[in-house]
Amino acid sequence: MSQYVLFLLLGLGSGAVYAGLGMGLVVQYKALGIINFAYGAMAMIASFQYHELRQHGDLVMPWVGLPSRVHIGDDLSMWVALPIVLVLSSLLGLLLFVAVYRPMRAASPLAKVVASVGVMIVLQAIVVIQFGTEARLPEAILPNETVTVLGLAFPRDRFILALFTAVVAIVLWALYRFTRFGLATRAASETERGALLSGISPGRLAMVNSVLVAVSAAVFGILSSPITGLDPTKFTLFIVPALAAALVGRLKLISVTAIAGLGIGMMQSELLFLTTKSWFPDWARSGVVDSVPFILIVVALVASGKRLPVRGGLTEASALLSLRRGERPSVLLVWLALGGIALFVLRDQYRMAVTVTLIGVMIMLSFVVLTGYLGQISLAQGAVAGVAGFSVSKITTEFDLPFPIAPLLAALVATAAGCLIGIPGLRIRGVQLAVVTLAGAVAIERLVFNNPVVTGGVTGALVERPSLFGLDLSPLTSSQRPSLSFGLLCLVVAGALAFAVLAVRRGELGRRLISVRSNERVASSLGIDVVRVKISGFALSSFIAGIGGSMLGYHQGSISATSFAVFVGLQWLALSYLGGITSISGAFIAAMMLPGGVSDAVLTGVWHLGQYHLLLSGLGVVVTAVANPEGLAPKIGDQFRSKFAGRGRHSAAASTRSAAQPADNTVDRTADNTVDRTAENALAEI
Amino acid sequence: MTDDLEPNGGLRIRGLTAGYGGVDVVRNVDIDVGPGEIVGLFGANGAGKTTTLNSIVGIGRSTLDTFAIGDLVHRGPKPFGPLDANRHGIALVPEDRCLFTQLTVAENLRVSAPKGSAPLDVLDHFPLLQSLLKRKAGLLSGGEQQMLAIARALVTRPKVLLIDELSLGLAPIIVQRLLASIYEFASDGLGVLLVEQHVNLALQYVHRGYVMRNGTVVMDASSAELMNAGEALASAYLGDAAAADAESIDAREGATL
Repeated sequence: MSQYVLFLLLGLGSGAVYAGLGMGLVVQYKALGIINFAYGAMAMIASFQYHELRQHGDLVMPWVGLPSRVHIGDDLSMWVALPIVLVLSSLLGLLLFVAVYRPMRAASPLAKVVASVGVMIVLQAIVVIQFGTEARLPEAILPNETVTVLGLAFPRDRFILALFTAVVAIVLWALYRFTRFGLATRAASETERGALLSGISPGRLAMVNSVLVAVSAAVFGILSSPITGLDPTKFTLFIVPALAAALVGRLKLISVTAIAGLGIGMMQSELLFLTTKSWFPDWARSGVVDSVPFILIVVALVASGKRLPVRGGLTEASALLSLRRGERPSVLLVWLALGGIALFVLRDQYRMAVTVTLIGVMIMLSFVVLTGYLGQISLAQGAVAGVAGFSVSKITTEFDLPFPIAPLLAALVATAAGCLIGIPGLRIRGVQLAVVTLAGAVAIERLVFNNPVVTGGVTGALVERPSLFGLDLSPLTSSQRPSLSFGLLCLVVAGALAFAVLAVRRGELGRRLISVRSNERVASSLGIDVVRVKISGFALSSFIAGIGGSMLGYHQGSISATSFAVFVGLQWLALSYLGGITSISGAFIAAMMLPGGVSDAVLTGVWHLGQYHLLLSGLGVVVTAVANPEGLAPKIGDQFRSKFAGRGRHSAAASTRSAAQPADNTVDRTADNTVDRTAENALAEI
Repeated sequence: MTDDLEPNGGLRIRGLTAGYGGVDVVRNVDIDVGPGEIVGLFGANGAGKTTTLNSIVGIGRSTLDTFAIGDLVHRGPKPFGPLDANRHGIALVPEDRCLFTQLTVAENLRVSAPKGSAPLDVLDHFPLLQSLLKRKAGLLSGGEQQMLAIARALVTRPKVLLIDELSLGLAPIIVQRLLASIYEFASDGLGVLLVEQHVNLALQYVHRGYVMRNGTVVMDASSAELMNAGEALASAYLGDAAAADAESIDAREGATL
């Protein structure tokens, strides 16, 4: 019995960081109107900086390329190191506010999600470059000798942390309840215009709050890292239980959030203890702990059915990315021809990069359907592709089914999984769906992909080599070099999917998808069955992602959880946005930027900058989300058209277009400008 | 001419032009509101009244030649931003009121008051709100909300108060009461610029009035003159042809009678 209590109390350690981050998320939602997916990463980078200062006396600045390591002194005490790190953290908070969150205040929910995911990728990449991927266990900061209460011996630091969390919660509660600053923050979160008219500057408030939460994240990270351990991925993903806690507090109630955070930590710790019991089912031993936040999030969002508070911005967010007409088939043919030529001309790692890019096209196409056409933000596409990847392994090794059947079956399994993930999407949308799908992706990764029962342990899940009618389609030739036949197979599959997506875009289903994206209520008033359309969208997109996942499985030959880790999925979404999530050409551009894709190969092979690939793609995503929310493809398309106007069949249309460009632009942008200028004028001196 | 704009202690604006995107919906408008003066701003829907008020406090795209508030003269083309307007004593009660609905009545007033002032003093003029201090603003009735919106604007100690659609959604008796208390504030020296659809009701309270049509001021007259200028007002609201039609209908009806 006593052990059960012991493990409950031990969970206070990680519970404190969940609670601390959760409270910070609530404050940021109030003050900035964003859900900051990068918040765990902010706590992580501060913890690493603190650890490095204490360990080596080195101050490591959060950038790469330039000299970033300064030796401060040996044997720094906590009272030297902590203030330094807190100052750095507040500067980081300030920088993120000024460079990312302030310019994005009137942006669409998708752009905001993508921007904060981009920030998270950047911070994580910086930490990996500067501190490595190894987990560290910093030395204790709080006194951790055991105390005995009621016959139970446990470390004292858990108590101190829980107490600290409670104190912070009370202070924050009082701050937002009683002080003028707190009242003004709450007032501005409701109506920025009302705040301005009352002489309150929402911009300054948001800035102060940003700094406040950055410091708070650092403190909680530093204090709990000796208990939770410090590794880049795990710490960044503390955002998921923290989001669960914040959502239980309905992104509003700080006290409830704090209690929920501590509670999640305790529940997880208790569950961890239970998994050691003999009666605990084997299949659930791994990852069950990580399903706690997912279940809580689903319950909090779907079951409660209460709306989260909506922030009243100065301007209505233009919710949608513009959607051009579907591309011309000739454009797709050009892309495919380029791919084909590259496959024939290039050898070795470059041919492999082209193959990976073509597989990436399939996965990126799944985002075009789901997010570009249907307007749903899912962070679980990596998990969906992974389900197909692991299924293709099982199907080929255990059931011995041949090539075209195996990936199709696997894609159908992925379709089922995608529809399951889409079910919450019937009730919730936008950022909240992003939250649910992120939690779902983490749960699937830990519960399924990391489960030795599913994946076959250390060897990874093997995938049989594909062949068709005696034709060897295996990714490597007998001399272990990338094969042309597999590359061509990927080209054919990617081409077929691209044309299928184009057909959808131009057909009945495409119009239905887009009408749901534009406005669900209007769509249903026009007799469109929104539920059916959404499920079709999720199914189609998951099937495409499933094909991509299967091909990735074939390509890798042996897959492990890292092939489809949560971060892989997040990077996919971010890059597909960078490429241009509403267009098929965008999928091609995005795929070139994938890890292992063409740009990676060039960075690694030509400039030897491979380790910066993740960082650069993250930066690219943030910049795109802030400055050019439509992504690269439409931009490049416009450039291309204006450059080649006057040639070929479309010359007439193209030249009128470019002649009319100035006028066109004014008209096109009128709406945007109104919004921008109103915002600009009003916010000019804040 | 506009360069030597003499401050009048209240608000004086010359050459205000405002609009959305590339289109100007208010062109070259001059407005004066003296201290203690209640000035009406009348006109049909779309005449540019709300845009005028919003741009005076720096919301939306606008330019102007000169304006004076209190003793301060400000030369354009860029107008004040909302925070400057607030600081220099121009307060706006917007059409949608923009109350902080999740905050209580007392909190709404506290958060809007400058540091060191006593925000609840204003409630002497709104005894009804006195008993509702702890209620969330979102739970108040329409009339109570409008009172709170005016009270909230007044705690910022404005020299000039701009009120957009005072009577929107309110019972006539409430409107009467609000107008009466606005009259009191004006007699204490507050300048008021009032946009109001109930022209006849408003004319009983205003000293002067402007009539806008298609984005420009077409009439600037005392309330007595406006009361007698029924036809000209009608044409501002309905357009010349319509006004002529209305006349001819009158004439025809007169004939048949």
